[in-house]
Amino acid sequence: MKRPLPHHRSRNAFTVIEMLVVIGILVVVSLGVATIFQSVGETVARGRKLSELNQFASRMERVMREDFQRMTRDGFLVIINKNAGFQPSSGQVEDTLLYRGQDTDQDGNGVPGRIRRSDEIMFFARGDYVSQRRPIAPNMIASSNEAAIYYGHGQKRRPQIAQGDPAFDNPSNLFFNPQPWDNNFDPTLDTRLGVRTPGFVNPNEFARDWSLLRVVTLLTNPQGAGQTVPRELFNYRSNDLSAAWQREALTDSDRQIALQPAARSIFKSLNGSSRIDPAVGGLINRSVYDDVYRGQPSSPSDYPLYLPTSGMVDVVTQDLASIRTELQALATFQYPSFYMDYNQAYGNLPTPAPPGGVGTRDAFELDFYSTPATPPRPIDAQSLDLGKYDTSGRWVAPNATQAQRIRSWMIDALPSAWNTGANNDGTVNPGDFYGGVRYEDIPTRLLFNENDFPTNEIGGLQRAYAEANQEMLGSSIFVPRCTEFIVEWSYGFVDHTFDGSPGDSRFKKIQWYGLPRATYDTNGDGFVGFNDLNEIDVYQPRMSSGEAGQFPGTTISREFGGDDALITGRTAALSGASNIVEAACFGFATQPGSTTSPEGAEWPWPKLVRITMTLGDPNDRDVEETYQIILEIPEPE
Amino acid sequence: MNTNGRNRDARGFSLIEVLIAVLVLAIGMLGLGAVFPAIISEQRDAFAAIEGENAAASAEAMLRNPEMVDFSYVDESFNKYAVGPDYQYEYIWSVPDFSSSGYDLGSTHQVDINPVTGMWTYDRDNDIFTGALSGAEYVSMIPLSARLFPQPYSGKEPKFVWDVALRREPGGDRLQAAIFVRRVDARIRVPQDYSLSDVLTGGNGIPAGSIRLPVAINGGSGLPAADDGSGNFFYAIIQGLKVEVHPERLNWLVFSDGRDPSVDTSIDFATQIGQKLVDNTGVVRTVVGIAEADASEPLAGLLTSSRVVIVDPPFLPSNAGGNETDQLYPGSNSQDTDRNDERASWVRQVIFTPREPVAVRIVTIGGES
Repeated sequence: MKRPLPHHRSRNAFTVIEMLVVIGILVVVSLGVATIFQSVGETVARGRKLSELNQFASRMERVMREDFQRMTRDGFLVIINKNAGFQPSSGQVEDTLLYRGQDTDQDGNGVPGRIRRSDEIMFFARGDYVSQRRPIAPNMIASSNEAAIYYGHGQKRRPQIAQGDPAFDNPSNLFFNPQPWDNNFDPTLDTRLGVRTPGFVNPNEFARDWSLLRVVTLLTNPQGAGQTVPRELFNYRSNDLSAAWQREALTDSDRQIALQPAARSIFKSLNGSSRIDPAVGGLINRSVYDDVYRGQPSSPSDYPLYLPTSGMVDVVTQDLASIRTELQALATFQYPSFYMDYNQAYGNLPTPAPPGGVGTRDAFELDFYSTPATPPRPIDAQSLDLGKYDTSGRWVAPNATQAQRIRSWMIDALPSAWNTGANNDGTVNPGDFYGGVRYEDIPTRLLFNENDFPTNEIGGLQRAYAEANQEMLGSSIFVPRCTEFIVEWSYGFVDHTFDGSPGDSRFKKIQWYGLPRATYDTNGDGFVGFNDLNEIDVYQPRMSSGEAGQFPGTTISREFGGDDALITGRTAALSGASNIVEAACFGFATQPGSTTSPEGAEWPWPKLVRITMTLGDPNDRDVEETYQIILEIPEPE
Repeated sequence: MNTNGRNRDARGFSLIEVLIAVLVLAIGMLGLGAVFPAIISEQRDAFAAIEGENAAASAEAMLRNPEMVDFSYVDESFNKYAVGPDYQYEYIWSVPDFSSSGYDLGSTHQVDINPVTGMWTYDRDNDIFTGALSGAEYVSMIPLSARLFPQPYSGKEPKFVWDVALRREPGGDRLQAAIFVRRVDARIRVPQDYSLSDVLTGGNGIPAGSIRLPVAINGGSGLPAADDGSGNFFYAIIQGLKVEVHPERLNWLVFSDGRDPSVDTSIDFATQIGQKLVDNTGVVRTVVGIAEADASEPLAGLLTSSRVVIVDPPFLPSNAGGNETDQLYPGSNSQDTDRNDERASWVRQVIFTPREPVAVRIVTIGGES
């Protein structure tokens, strides 16, 4: 039944005018709301961008300043200036893209992208440092009050998944099964920064994918007899008197600190050997070696080099004093050999004729390492000649070869992979860089399955090491999306050419050293790049005292009594300014103390370091933000 | 249909009502919209504070570099009223004083910032580098181009400019510096084909008419303004004013001549909320408010005779010299003042920049003791 409509006097309806007014109001309101929404959106986006960049900027500044304050001149300082994007195919440094598909030509050379700097710096510091690796046994933690600190771009590995390859379980697949001997370089799967690799994806090809690492390598000597070790760990019983090797496996050795893998020398070329004393302790011990490493490398007689380049190793069994002695002895001996080459590292060792009747590199190592009773002594450096003052106070230039060797060895100490022996003159070329320290944004194998490892105690050991290795992959990331990292150094000198005219904009301009870096668009093509010749901002250090200097009014030698041949090495450009690599090295007094020889000189150190780095905006792939920090190098203690 | 009746029972809005409603809505939304730029500006300030600290630390590294500025030539008479063994260090910051009866540091060496070029020197009276030292004046100077950060032509355009006030550090008599970091005025225009570095340093052959000061005061109004190249602009230097602290109110900072009509705009700069003041105890204090008090309170009289701000952190009882602070002002009679007595810790001077700095850092830089 139909319900009767209530009686009403009239049916209300909107008039056209009313409708128009309502629509008008709605339009006004919605316009206002839209404006506010837009404003909110912009605020949120800007706020997010600011706070993220804020976070990185403040973190960068705080950590770097603290590290620099702890720098000690009992170690040395190495600064490498280089450009990313060296293409093995052309033998040239070429432009790097910010991201895949970037089509902006940022330097006016007709090719998208631009050349990007990927500098490195390493120095030694005193403080309280603890290994990043997860402790294997409670109360056994590698720690030290001396460390090598390195800043430089890291390098991700390429996933190696071949068809039908049970990659996850294949121990030789270093992407899924990272190992401390990984040199992070494979010529067939080149993943160096900016390298274009037809046929496969290079995870480091584009600048927005780069991360700046801070790698802290602890310097610590193995604990001697009496070290507290667990009574039983995995299947090793330290209190089993009938099998001393079981206790040995758990104690420190020159390859193991607190059950963590350790490199035995900061110098990578001195890490490997075919002749490790069979009695060497730790889990690398011949008796247990296979247990830990599942038979890798291929032959158990090949003891691995633990390489910081793997990103897995952050302990070196050396202290600052022994590094110094070793470096000074090495300078009189030979250039670094190429440790990347397994054949050379393990097999066909070079046989130079060093002083003191040591005939081979093995013998040298034996002298240095395998006789604990005779660690490197100052006397090994007696023929070192790095320049000194003669009895009448005049400066005597160093033995050039020794100066070049000592520089090569300092570069060899970087955790990144350099073939410093390639030129045998203390310089390095873009192609001598074999790769950065490995890192990954996320562990390559987040979880292990129940049956990934044997079910016995050895499985537990292997699992513990595999999980710790995975954790190490991301432990050194310092600044993600770091698209450029530039390190320049200065003695604090100002350009004396302009002393007389305070009105000149260059008056009191600090002289910074590094690679040429155009700062103006001098050729008027609308871009600032290598085609612009103005290098007013950065000075070129001289290669040797004999060369015409760019140090108006003064010279390094005059100021310090040192010799700049010690300090800088710049390779001649292969062709074009972008192919230059500059290595600046700063070290100890030039002459070891002696009662009979004239005084050595303090090796001149820079006073200031200027770091200029560029970060990619997290939200807008075309936007980059550049930051600058000027850091003071502390005076000698 | 009875339209009249309907109109009485269900009357629509009149046009006036609708207009008022729209107006109210519009005002509300405008207010809401105004919040967001404020948030952005807050965020930018927070960011600038972090970057400013970095700039201050970098400036400190520069000050410690004797090649840039060699403080070893600062002689024994610096920070005294007059040369001579009878005179003692005043321990006040060597900056131009804008009080009605300002500090008089006599004829001894003072810090100076050239208002046209921005050149900084610790030898204002130009009498250190005479005789054998003649021609070496440049070791006492820091040009404006060296005080920009990031450094000009370094791959990042300057964002900040830093300035330095100097004095003797109470206790050790070593030199102490207050580094003020300010933002380069964002309103400075960069001509086509030139960079901000060119505009601020005069480099790269930029025409002289295009050079600008990074922080400026309008010569006519005396107020901070962007240098427009008209020539009537001066570098915005660090300024000083006389102050006193009273024991009754330890968070009050009293500008005793603040009602003196002859005191110029400096007092307005110093009393801005958020302004950072460095006092003669070497502490950086922030202005957080204007003082208020009932007429019955003991210090209420100060509010009419002086200008009083509330600062954070508050002062210590030992900082409060009250009305007697005036006795410690340097002048011809100050040679008999024993600076080692308890009055040495009385707060009697603050220094500041016309616009509030993004960072202030106090450092000890050594020098003669």
